[in-house]
Amino acid sequence: MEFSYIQILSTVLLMLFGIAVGAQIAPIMSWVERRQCAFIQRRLGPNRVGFFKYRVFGLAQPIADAIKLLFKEDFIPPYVHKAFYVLAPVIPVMMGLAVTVVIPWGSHLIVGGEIVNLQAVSLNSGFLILFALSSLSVYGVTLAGWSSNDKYSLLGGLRASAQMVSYEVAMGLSVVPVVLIWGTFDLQKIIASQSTILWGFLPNWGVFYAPVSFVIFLVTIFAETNRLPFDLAEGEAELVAGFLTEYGGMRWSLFFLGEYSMMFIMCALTVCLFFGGYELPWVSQHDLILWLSSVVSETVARWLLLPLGIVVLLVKSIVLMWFFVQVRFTVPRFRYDQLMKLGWLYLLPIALVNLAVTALVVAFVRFH
Amino acid sequence: MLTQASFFILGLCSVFLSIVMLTRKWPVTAAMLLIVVMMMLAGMYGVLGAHFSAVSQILVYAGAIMVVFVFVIMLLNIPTNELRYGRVTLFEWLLIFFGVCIAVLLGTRVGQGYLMIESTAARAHARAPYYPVSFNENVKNVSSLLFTDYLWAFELVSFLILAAIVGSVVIAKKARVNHVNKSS
Amino acid sequence: MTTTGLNPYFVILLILLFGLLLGLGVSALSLYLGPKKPNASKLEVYECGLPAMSNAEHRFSVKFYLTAILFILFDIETIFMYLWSALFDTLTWFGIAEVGIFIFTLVVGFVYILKRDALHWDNAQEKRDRGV
Repeated sequence: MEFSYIQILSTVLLMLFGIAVGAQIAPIMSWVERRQCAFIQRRLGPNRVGFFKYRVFGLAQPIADAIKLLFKEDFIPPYVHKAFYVLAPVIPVMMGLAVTVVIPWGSHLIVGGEIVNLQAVSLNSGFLILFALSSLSVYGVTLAGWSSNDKYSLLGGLRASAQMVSYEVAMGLSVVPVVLIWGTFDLQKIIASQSTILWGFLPNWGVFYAPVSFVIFLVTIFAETNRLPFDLAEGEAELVAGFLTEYGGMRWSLFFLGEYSMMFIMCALTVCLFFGGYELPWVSQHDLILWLSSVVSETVARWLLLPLGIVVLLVKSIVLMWFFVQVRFTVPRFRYDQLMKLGWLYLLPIALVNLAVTALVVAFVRFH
Repeated sequence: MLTQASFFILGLCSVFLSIVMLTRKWPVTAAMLLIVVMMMLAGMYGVLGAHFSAVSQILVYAGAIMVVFVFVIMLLNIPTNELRYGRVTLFEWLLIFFGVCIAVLLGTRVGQGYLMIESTAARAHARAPYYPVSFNENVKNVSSLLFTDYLWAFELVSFLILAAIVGSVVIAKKARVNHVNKSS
Repeated sequence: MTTTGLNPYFVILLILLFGLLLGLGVSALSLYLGPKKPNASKLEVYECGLPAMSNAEHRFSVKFYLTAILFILFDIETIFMYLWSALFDTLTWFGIAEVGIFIFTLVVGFVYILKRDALHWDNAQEKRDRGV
């Protein structure tokens, strides 16, 4: 069994690309959130920090924020459990970056006679590894609350963990109908199935096959990433800052780095499962390659389609992220008992009924 | 060869971390180390080709069961000075000795043909699963076995889960006989 | 001779280690670059600016434990659902019947939870909402 250097190099490059996307999403989103919040509230937001004399819409604001946070006093209070206090913010970062490897950035390339799958980790269990890693990010919150050695932080941490854990059930169950419909866990195959046309005028997207699943999944992603209306753990008026009370400076921002990265990857997963991933809506990449093959060879055509696929995936994910930010500044926060009631008593039965109905409908359509 | 090497590295690390975990003073440190051990076990399953076992190990064991452990440790909130951290008694030394003996026995005997009778019988009765699927499809292979050969076990699991639901609710909720009479 | 790339699990391990190093590195950088000015009020536990009233050592509600246990049980159900959905086309109606029994048993458990109000988080607020 010899190693193919092309495959190893491509895996490493895809991994680095995933890390770059995951790590850069947080600064970009911080700017987007502040500007969008400002526009919703009829003001302007940060628009002055720029380069040299040019304002550039305040795009250098995240850089300024990062520099400020780095130079803040990193104060470790003496009453905390030091090892866990240091480790707790790192866990969301680890998980937020690790889940970027599952997203397919394109179909495949042909390099040196070998087929290079544009997905860093293509396992048999498909996107389940994403759910597995995101279920581990609960520990970041729990440890942060406990290590602060403060009963308010501990309570906030436990409540946030209980919230994240409650919505993971509905998240998992809402995805099962999607797997049922497409018949596989492999994201590449799911996206390839979504590249045709449905009923003559609609793209064959998962959202038309499983709309209830889409809605439940979207709601549960909000809860998993602690975003409003589910951000009781981080809200300023609740228990001070919940599990974040004793954190300041760069450690505090590490939590948000992980949270934003996880949020983006969950949006990208939603896009892959429900909105066709990196495929353009009516023009599949297969068609484009056939069309381009008359001009250039297939290898070059695939290289030309690589940036197109990445851009399409990013644009679709950014639309969902925009929706996340809109919801944050529109909807009031849930109270904790309302939150838990929604997760267990509403979403879980709806997900189960959705699963049963989808299974029966698909069975009638396919097996008769 | 690389599979074997990664298996040995992961195995040795998980054994070492388990022993470290058993000797920790703080329960939370022990719980976190156990989570790392679970992830190494998942890595071992994955390296050996059992992809679904690897994912469900992280999803269920490291992501759910250990959450319960950690919640219980944090809810109990035992003060530091009450954590027992003393000398190992004679009884515990005997237990450690027998544990090492069992580990050596298992490591050298099992899988070496010592239980040859069982494995021959198993191979004699072995047949292809009802729905043969290809070699690379681990999730579908497991699924095809679960819903045909091991269907009885699958349905029994549902009763086991029901018993666990009822048991945990009974333990956690105080018995309320009369809702009406309980005034606010 | 078959050629292989990197083992996917090794890739996941690498990226987890990278995340760990990134997180610890950034924290260490901030620790090194920031000023160090300890003073007495920074050294106290934060309780809205008032002096600390009690230690972090009193009993918490058992509902957290119950939520986590129920999460395990429904997570186990979910992984069985994943297995079934992967082979849905081959198992046809037989599979639906099998899984139907499984889900029915779990629905019985869920109805028990509803009847016992096990997941009821705030009795006081609901009484206020009802106007009692």
